[in-house]
Amino acid sequence: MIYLRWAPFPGADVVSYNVYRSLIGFVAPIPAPSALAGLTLQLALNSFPTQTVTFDGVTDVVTSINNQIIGGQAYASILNPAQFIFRDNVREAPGSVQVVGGTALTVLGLSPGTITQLSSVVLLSTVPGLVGAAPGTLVDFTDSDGALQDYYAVTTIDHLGNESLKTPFRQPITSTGNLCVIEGVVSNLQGVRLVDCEVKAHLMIFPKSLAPGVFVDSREPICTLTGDDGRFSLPLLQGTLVRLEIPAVGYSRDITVPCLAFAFITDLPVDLHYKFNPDPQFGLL
Amino acid sequence: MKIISQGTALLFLPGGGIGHNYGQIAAQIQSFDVFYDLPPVVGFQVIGDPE
Repeated sequence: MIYLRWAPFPGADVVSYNVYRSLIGFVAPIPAPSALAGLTLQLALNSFPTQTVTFDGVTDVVTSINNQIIGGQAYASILNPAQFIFRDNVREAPGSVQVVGGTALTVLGLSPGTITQLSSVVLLSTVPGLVGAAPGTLVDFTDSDGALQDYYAVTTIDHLGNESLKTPFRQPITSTGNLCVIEGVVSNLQGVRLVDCEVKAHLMIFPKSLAPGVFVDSREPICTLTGDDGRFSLPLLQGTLVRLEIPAVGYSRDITVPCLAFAFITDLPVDLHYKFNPDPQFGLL
Repeated sequence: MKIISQGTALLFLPGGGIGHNYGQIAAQIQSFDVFYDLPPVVGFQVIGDPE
């Protein structure tokens, strides 16, 4: 189960969103078993020799594949019961699924080709925009078929039907607490947005409001890079006191991560109360 | 992707002429900016349930 959430940029012209997923595998319709009687499907997984599935016309497609293929798994889709998903057991690079051939390709809507990490993108769903909602209201989407190794991206569609480019593809993270995504743009004096600028956050004081038994790694900073458009998004645990730095532009601030789903870096107040860690349990920083 | 042109850069386009392989046509434009149509989405989180 994968949960996606985002918010529209304040004042943006957004009528709906498209959610995309990329996995090492494919999505295909579930035909009646009789429609596949005597047909075959040839797959090669992770560059190993080709395996052939022969459909007997009685057993359903998911069971047939799972009984005859080693190294991959077929699932009936929860999101769309008329479809099934085939996923390689090696769910990230260098995993690959090669659809080699077979007589069932037409019925399954498949074509020969090799699927690797991020080589195949499928439109998962169209989500309506929130009309009249308060600024900052989050849009939620749940992918019941998703796995931790899948990649997701979102586009927006304006009132004229124009679809934007995709956000950068993101893999799910597992989270122990609520996150705030710090958003910002890095540019130079010409206004040219800078690509691959490092943005990092370093925990300064252990947060008080985490779940029992959870420790936060304070040794290494959390880092991200700006994208092609100079934008960055850095998810951080809400309520933590961190030093936020962008070395390329000399930005360095001690801030308390707000209890919001997202915040623009320019809206973050500097924490003026931090002098040193007063709790000897965690030592001097 | 939107491309908006205005400004002072010189743009040379290939042209043709008798006795010449290529002529040059200079056009003055104000500036040349390329804007990506990025999704106006903020706070994009993808959370996985390990169970």
